[in-house]
Amino acid sequence: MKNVAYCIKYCLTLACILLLWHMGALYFGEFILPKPVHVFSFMGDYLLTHEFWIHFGISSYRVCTALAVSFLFSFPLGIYMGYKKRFDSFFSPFVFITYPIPKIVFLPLFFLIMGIGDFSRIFLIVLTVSYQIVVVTRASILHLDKKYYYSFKSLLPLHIEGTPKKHYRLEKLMHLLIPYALPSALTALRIASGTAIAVLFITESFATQEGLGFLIMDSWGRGDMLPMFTGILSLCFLGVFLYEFCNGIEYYFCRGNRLNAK
Amino acid sequence: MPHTLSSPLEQYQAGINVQGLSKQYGTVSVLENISFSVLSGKSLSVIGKSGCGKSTLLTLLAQLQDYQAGRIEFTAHSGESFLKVHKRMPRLSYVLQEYGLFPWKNATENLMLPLQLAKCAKDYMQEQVALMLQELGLTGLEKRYPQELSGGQKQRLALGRALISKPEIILLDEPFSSVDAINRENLQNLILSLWEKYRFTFVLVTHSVSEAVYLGGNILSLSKAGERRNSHYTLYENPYFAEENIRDKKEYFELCKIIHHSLQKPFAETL
Repeated sequence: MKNVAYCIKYCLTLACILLLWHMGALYFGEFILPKPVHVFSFMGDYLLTHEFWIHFGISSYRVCTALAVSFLFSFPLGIYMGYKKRFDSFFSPFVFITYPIPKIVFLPLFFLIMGIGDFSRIFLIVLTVSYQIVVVTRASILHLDKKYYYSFKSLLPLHIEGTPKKHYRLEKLMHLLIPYALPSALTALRIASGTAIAVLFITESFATQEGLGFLIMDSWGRGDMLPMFTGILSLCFLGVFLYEFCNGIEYYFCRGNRLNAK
Repeated sequence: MPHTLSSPLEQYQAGINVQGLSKQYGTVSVLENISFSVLSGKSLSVIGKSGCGKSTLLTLLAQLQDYQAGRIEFTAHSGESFLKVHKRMPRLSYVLQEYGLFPWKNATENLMLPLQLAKCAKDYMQEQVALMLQELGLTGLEKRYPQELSGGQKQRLALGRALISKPEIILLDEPFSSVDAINRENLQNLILSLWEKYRFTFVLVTHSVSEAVYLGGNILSLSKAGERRNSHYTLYENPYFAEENIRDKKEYFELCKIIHHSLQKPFAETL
């Protein structure tokens, strides 16, 4: 029942956006803002072409790889920073000094150093997204509720001779730290997925002939509005898909925490 | 190597001996020179106003915090004969005030965790969890998360998690503070019946005088450090502990009255 209500809300929101778009198209004229019906009609044909799927596939590959790498790198780093005070005191000044710097300005530098292939574009997205996940995960571990910490510590079988507390590091990680920080990290990833799409668009606007960013900028340069809007819509779909995918992961892996939040 | 756990009755029981224990947070003294002992298979209730160091005392007994002065020893008994001071930690479980259940684990997973940490065999763990769920009346709630359970069910689950590792000592920090009066009484009776069955040693921290007298073989009444002239604690013996229908007896009410009176008077001399 909840899922049906969620779908209805989604559809209603979509209908409102399409209505506003249609009204905007009537006001600005077809050359600046084509009507949604024309865009969808063109998109239907364009989806059948090989060219569209190359652009879409390359963009999806870049952003998905970047998000996966960011999460796999920054989630453990955030946990370690939050848990190990000595490491945090050494590493956190570096993170917090460089955090406010807009990473996108380094795009030309990365192109020079790493070339104009996929690596430099993915690297830039990873750099942008990782900070958000590291900062949130670290904060989550730093604010670990003492009751859970005590609870875990009290369950350690210290009566077994020769087993000091440090022998249970892996167990602490698996049963306490990861499950505690995962919801926050996934929320950060979900929010960062929007940023990742924006950075992807910028990185694909230069020195490439593949990707949805290229499709948008190339069509815009030629004054061909229908492919441009097809690219914009595809990026929007990609963004929504990634957001909902993160939602799904959170729903599956953090059921208990979700109930707790309610 | 995966293994099973024996109950205190099958092995030996542990008591607690505390001598001159003091704990400070910065310059604030929370516990000053406290001494008491709990014989193996007996119980101690700790009562006092908020902030007098009751919960701190439990965390010290559970070795969760360090202390500035004093000594905590765990003694071992086998049957009637006193063995020795433990050279190892006894099997000890701690039930926290707000249950301490992990919200990311369901009832089965929460119960299983102490056995997983002790690296028990999988079959043994499943068998023990099923037995414990049955014993605590939680059958059918195996897959529920703590947030989907009532206060009483959560408390029973927390007790089950403490008991499943067959501890020699259980520390209970205001375990019934969040449950209604009827559930509270049921849980108090449950603790007593479990104690009669397993004969673990337990220390209970509570705000309720009647609960302290009902569940405590000895009662430690604490006041804030420095509040009293001599010592900031008084130890009462409860000869009526675990007697049948104790709640209907005159002596029970009289002991409650004495302890209540001592808590009301901050400068009372120790009895």
